[in-house]
Amino acid sequence: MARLRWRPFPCPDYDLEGTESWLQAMAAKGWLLRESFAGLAGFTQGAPDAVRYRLNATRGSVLDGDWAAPDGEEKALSAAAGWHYVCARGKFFIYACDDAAAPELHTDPAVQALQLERLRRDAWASVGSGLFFAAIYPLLWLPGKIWRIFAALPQYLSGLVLVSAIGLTVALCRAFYLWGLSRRLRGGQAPVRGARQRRRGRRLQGLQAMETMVLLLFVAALFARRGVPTAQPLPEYTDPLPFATLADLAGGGTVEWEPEDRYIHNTVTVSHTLTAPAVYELEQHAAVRQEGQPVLSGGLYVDYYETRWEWLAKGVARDLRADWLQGEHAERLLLPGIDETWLTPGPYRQLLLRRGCRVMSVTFFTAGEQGPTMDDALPVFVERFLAG
Amino acid sequence: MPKKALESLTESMFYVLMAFSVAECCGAEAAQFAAARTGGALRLGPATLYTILAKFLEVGYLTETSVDGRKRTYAITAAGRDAYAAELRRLRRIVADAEAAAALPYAAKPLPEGGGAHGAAALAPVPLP
Repeated sequence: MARLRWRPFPCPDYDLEGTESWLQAMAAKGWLLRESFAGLAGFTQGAPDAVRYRLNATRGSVLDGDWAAPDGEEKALSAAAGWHYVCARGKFFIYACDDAAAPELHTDPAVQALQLERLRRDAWASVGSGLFFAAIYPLLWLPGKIWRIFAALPQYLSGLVLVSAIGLTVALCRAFYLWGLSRRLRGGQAPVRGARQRRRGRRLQGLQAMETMVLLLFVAALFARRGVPTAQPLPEYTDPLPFATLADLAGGGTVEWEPEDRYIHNTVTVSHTLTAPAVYELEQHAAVRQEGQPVLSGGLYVDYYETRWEWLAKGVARDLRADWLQGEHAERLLLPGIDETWLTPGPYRQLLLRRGCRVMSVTFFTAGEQGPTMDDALPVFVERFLAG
Repeated sequence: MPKKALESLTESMFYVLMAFSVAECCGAEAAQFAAARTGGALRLGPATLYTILAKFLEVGYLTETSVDGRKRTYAITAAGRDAYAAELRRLRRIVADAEAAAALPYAAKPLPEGGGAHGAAALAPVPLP
């Protein structure tokens, strides 16, 4: 057999008219389709010929792919009518016929529409599941987290969001194309083949290629662990923090950690995302000593966001109130220079501050009677927040 | 369990069902029957033919009776006969209406609402054969 020349299909597999038009144009130039694999068409060079190519939807399950083949009866009936099976692509079998007198593969457009029924249903199911994960799932399962995820989404995950958005667009294109085609077929119109269909096919394929490219970049970033924030031990962290820590609350002193807590419960995670130039997550369990005497022993949790836009900071503050302050009767305080201040009652008092694009939520507690209370610590938190 | 019956039959579907209403046969024989009955006017493309066969099997109008290599033989079921008879009644009604309309004198003016003198009131229902 002559050597195969591989070329990418310029249309998605479901674009029946675009694919048929392209294959016929290739045959007219002497390139005859022999095989299909992973979005590539394998051609052999021959004499230019008027070959008709037709795509026929498979009857197999949605899991059937390029490896599926038509059954014996289908092949025999097609061969008897002058059509030979060439290869499978996606959910279609590709047939060819070089006999101008042979009947069309499909002579009844309404029956062809019937054959596309399952593909149409699958296409809408993809749109439905895409919409579910893009819109309904977040609404049901992520209340109090959406804005925070949007702000703190690591850059490699932003790629995944982009892939999902393009994927949903591709699914919508597929569903609308098959819906439109079926509607025309049911109206008695045969599929249209020509240069216009080839151009439309290229646009659809471009969108799918973009989806694949972004997905590959995402996987590469995932393996390279680029943009993945990692927790650093607080004792080894030397950069300034834009908020108060236990030492600040004690008014200075030496911070001491239990040996087992040194690298586990004393960490800071710093990340920079597309929507938030700085996101800090701090966990501190320690004692503070002044002149050898313990002055504070307790714990501190801080979530700090510096977002690009104030509307996002407001959303993050709303999320933090809905999630962190859940079930608590938070009290709103009016403090000069701060846009929002919320404080909860109870032994583990929580504080939320927002100023412009910056939001901070704090949980602070002390062990026993040692150290300041949240009321004592509030001015320190506010002062450092304003200075940060 | 058969799926929901088809809402209507196209001409191709009707001829395929007609072929099986006469005798058990394979797909190619059904296509030959349709071409012969229509004097070659209805040539069933292979994809059209096996889509129809698959659909009829799915909705329970046909049942597979034997497989001999690549050749499969099918027989019409009671549901298939009912669907065929219902379509036949519908087509007879259309033909009867058309023949009754053809028997009326031609009026140059458009028909008024309700069909006027040539409408439903003027046309007695045509008894079906």
